[in-house]
Amino acid sequence: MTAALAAQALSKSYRTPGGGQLVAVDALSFEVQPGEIVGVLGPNGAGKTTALQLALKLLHPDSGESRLFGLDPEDLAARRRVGYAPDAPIFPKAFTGRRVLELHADLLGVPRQRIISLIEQTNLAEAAQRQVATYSRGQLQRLGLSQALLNEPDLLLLDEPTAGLDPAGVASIRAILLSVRTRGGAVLLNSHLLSEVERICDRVLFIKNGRLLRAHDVHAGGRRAEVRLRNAPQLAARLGERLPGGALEGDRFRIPVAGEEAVPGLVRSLVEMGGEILEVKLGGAELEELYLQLVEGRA
Amino acid sequence: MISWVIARATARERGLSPLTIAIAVVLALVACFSSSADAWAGLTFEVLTLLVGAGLLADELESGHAQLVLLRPLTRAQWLGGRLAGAALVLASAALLATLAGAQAAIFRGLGSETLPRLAVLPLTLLPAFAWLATLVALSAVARGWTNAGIVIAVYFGWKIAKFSLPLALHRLDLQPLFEGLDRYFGPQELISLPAGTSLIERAAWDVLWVFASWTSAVRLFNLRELARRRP
Repeated sequence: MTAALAAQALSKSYRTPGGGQLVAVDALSFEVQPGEIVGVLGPNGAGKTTALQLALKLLHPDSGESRLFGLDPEDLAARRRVGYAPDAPIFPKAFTGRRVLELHADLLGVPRQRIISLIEQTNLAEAAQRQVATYSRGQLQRLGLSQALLNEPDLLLLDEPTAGLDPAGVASIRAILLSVRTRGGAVLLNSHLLSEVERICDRVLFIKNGRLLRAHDVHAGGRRAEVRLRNAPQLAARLGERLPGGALEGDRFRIPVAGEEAVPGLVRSLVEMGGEILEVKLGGAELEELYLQLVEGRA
Repeated sequence: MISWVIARATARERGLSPLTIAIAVVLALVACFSSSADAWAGLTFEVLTLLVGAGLLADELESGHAQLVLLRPLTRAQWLGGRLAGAALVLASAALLATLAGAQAAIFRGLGSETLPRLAVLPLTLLPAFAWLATLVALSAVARGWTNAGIVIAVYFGWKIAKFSLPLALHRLDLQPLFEGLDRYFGPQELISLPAGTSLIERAAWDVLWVFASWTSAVRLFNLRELARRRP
């Protein structure tokens, strides 16, 4: 199967004002396959945005190359299949949100009716009639996402899409990304939100100083369930006896599980033990610990 | 070579700016109340050309909107052609408005014979304006913000001053004919008030050549440029 995005040994450096050289991206290689969501994690200045712009050929790499669906990123056939939302999207200030979407729809040859459904999907119905100059950060973010989704892209690249969004906005973006994956699309997501990445991504790329530290499969090695129990102290002995792989910390009981299909069985076991369940969460396998270990260098 | 979607968007963006509208109205008023057919086609129209062409590419590139637009299925040359055509449409609309207003005013004043000369001024004014616009676009492919307009103004007046002052400063008055000769090829040429011994066809052909040379240079320069902004 042809990768939706394949980056091979991409490198980019800049001259600094002092005459030195700053390596923004250093021999970075990665792939995004159709039907998967790949997250990119790293501290500020790690080269995440530059990597994304190199992959799309918005920046010229010093060396290396990227292919979109096996084609050059500037090939018009590849561009028809791509959607991109930058971290701080900027549109002509005098245009209304709707006019911006009409411009992009016309460039793509997408029917105008698509705009109406997107405006509703991204909760921009009221703002779409106003000039972009009056938009809040969150509204700009949603408009950026809308233009990226106009062509129902097979490859969606998002740079910090949840920055400036309220919780409802974050949830709607999550739903949109999952729907892209469901129809076989690929997503590359730059984000600082570990919890979001953990929740929706299939793989995570850890980047620091422009280098790929590790590509981590979120589902490999199973996931981790976290259950909050009202009567945790009373259950401690029984939990240790019947679910030995788990660990109790305060009122939270954490245990590795094979996947979400194992959660109902776990809940049943806890109820049979007399557990009073307040909350159940399913996360990846210690992504936060992995991030701290790889990126921050903590043991 | 031209994306008409981009041309329409550019015409709307540049043409609906309050300053552009104000200058277009001034042009129409000058055309209405002046007894001369080409009175409107002077400094005000040049100011409008500079205003419409200032930062024509750089504004979009520096704001970051260009990188979103150029990820769509259109080439850089089509985008650039669209920006140029959109700005040219604004100039043409303003000039047409002024011409029609002037012709209408002439008829209204019972000077029907003036109508034709007033209409004839339109292409003679537009061609050099398009040539200047193409120059501004070529500069905007490499210059930041509105500095393309500043460069054009500085070079234009710099040359005019140098043309007169250099032969005097060098005590070489014999160089004056050489400078006069060079002046005929320095930038787009005026087509309305022709100096003695110059041919309208020759000058018009030079302007057409200038439009295409500037346009081609703009595309070549723009192809070298990175679209994304460098992050601090």
